[in-house]
Amino acid sequence: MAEKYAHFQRLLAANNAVLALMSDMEEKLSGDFLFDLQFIRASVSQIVQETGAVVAALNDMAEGRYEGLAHSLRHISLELEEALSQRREIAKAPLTLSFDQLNLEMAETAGGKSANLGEVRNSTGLPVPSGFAISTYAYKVFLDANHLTARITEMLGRWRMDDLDSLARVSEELKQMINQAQVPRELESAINAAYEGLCLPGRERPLVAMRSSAVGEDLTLTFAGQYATYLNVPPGELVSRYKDIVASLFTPRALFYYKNKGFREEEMAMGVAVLPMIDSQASGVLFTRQPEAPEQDAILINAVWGLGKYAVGGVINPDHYLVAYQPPGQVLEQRIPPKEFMLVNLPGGGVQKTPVPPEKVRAPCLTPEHLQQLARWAATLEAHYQRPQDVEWALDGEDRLWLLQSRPLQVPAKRSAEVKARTLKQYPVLLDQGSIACRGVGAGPVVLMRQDEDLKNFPPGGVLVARHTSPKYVTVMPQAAAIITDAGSPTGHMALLAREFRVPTILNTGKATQILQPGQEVTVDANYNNVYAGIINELLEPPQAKVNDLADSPVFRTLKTVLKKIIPLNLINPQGANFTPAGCRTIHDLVRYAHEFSMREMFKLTESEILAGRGVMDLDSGLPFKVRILDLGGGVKKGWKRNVRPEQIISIPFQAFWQGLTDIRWPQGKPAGAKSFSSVFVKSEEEVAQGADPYRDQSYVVLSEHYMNFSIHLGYHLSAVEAYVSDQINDNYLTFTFRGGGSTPERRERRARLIEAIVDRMDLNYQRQGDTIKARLAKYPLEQMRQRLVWFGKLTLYTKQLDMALFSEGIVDWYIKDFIREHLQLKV
Amino acid sequence: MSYQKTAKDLMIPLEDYPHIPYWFSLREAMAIIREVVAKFGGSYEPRAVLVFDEKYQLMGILTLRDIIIGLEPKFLQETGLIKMDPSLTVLTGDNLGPKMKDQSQRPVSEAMSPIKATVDAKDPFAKALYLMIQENVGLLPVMYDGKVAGMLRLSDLFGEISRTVLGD
Repeated sequence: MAEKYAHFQRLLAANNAVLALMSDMEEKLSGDFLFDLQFIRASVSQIVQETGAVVAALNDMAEGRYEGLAHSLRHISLELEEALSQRREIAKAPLTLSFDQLNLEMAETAGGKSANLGEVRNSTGLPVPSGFAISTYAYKVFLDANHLTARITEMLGRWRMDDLDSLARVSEELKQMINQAQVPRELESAINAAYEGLCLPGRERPLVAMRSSAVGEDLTLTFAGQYATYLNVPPGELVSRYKDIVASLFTPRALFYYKNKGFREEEMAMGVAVLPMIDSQASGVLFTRQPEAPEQDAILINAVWGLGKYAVGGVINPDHYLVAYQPPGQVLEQRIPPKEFMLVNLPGGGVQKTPVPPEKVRAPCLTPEHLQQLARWAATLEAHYQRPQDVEWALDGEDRLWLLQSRPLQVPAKRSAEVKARTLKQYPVLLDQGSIACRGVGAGPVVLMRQDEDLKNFPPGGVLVARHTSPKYVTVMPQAAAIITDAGSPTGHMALLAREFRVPTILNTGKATQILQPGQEVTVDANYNNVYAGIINELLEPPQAKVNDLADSPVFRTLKTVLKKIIPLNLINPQGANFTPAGCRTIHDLVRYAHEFSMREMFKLTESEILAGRGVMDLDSGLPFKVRILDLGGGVKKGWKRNVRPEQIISIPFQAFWQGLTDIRWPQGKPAGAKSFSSVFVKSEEEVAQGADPYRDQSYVVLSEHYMNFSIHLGYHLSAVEAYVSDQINDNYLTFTFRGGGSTPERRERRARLIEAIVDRMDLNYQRQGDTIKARLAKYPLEQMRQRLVWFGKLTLYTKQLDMALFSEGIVDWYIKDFIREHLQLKV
Repeated sequence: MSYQKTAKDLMIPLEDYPHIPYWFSLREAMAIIREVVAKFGGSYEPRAVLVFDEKYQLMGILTLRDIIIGLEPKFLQETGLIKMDPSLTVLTGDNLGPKMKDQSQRPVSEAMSPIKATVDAKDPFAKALYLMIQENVGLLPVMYDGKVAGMLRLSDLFGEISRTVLGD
């Protein structure tokens, strides 16, 4: 018995751990947090471990009757492992590829920068110098030839994001490793052959620009400035520069970026873009939108004399042009500061800073014709990519414009946390407390959930208001504008689902169902825990489409894949046909199933089990109430004897329940000497015998510090109150059952109606069938659980033989009002 | 002929009369009577509630008179020293209401009248009539196999007599 309870407690603890881990992982999907693959691996392994503890505890409680659950867990954990261990091999490809062969879909092979240049060159026809890519497969060949792959993996595993000290060390070792490695002959020949392809007969052999083109670079993530670029490289240095660029994959800055965005080692593959050096008289950068005002149709262009490095490096102040799309290139704004220096190519290779000729210092780099042409490019690129672009351009000695790079422009997303005022004073605030389960703002008419049937008629755009959280609400989440509940915790099952569906949700408001009226229009600000009367458009301003710049990164893809095996809840209705161990398809299903059945197992405590238990005491309360106590540990003060007094019991739920029980008058002061007459209602000895209930007047309570299971036999009715009360909102629950009575069926049913009405006022969910009532409440904070238990103590005694007095429906109503007013001290 | 009728023929089944457990308060008894009057009006006679113990045995009857006496504030109660005079009620002033409210929390067992007599279901109604007059009660339990099965009311007996006397 005590053992069973210990298992139950273990189960609750593990269940909470799982739910907390789940919400932690899910929170990472918002894009507001730093995390890496290690985090996912660690979280998944913890979740599997804790879920295993939940399943084991349930089986220990029930002598292994839930083995099927362990089987389902094994299955799910295998799927999780698979999702985590997927290694993407670098696909076999030519060592070099001409830009003419490339497009965006070949980003894995050519790296982001080369793929983009190929895409622009081949799909938009904009002038991109004809160059070639050294593929990522070449990178693999290079590493393999030097047996570096395993060593790199091992070294990368050595540091974590929170350990920046070791980062520099690891980076240095990795760079040295690359520098000491030999570029295999076949790769060297391939690079040289591709270079020969750039040379036109009868023309000078060009010097080239070699730019990093890592996987993922310049795609959704920019890696801006993370990797090496070499300008004006002479043909003889191609191979050594290649090694330098590969080594730049491992600079501390780049490593951090890689880890931060969650790339796997094998996804850190470096390609290189090689293109003939443009001898530019001017160059610069073009943004197809202004990052700070993306809604305006205007193109931002910077320009410097010479090579473009100075346009972005902050060395000199570049020309600034803001030009219109229509008419193309019309100048909206222009600043031409003096540009004293420029970067130019040296004839034998390399670049040099030189003074700008005096007549050009204050002259604009670009003519209206150039601006017009660049504006047309911007329009072409936006039309092609369907999103703002960040472009590098160069103007050669023959007055031709070249496009050297195009990549997505990061337009900073407004963070949802930057919502205006905390509380808008000018609007009536209906609720201003609770726990936020999912941020956001939603508005609509209040829809009160009283029974499951209410879900069927849930209107689109309604604000769901309920007493408790329930995973069943998932069925209306896609159409709910917001969710508000009286109780519940942000790490509970429903909260996880609300985040999955992004429904603004406030839990644990304490009184939402009492304050909000059905049909009333409200605005729910789940950023700041406020519910306002009416629809407040100011708060509802169409949110900036939330651009999550991590959304396409590998770590995100992995997290999403993994969460699909963890978060979704398929076991919604305990009465449903799929509510079985085999029906569990996710971790969430498993813990929900185990939690549900652990409570059933706990509640199955039978009298025979109780009698067999040791540590049995009798309650000495001075009241006509025979109570036998079984302490599971921590429920009764140490040093108890056969009889214990109520004040020696320290069980939290018992204390509260007892307080209520002794608040109501007990049957006492029976006049002595008055003659009593047996009535037709008195059960005969035979009837009692047929009921086979020799413990008719004996009540039982099983206790621990946080737990109570009280089977009460008072008069002719049986009631049972089971409760778990602790600081862990998620663990707290209370069940109440009531049945029987000595009076006529009519009066017993009247009493059931009375209890039903009162239990409803106490905010419990309940079911009534004839004279039997079952009520349940879960996930309320400790104080509120205590309050409910006090109330149940009162109700238990209040209803003792009350059926006798329930002569008519009218008197039932009077009693309901009396109890609510006098004993719950609530408004009727 | 009506005087051939037995107690059983004229009794009201037990479940049709309002009941109350003995530890319940006078206040509750009053609420019950008010509700029953609202339901049955003049046919609810005498205005009383049956008092039972926890084993559903009949212990007594609580009439309007019993309740009113039970609510009587202590300072109006007669003692060996003070003889109560109705004129003294002028002294109660505003105290009467609140004091009676306090008193209404008393258990009905302290105010009820004990059962002074019963009749058997097979007894002729004339015997019941005789007992009621003798014991000065308006309500009499009817026993069936040694258990209370219903109640006889003076008003029902009066109805029977009326029919005989008035000849219709």
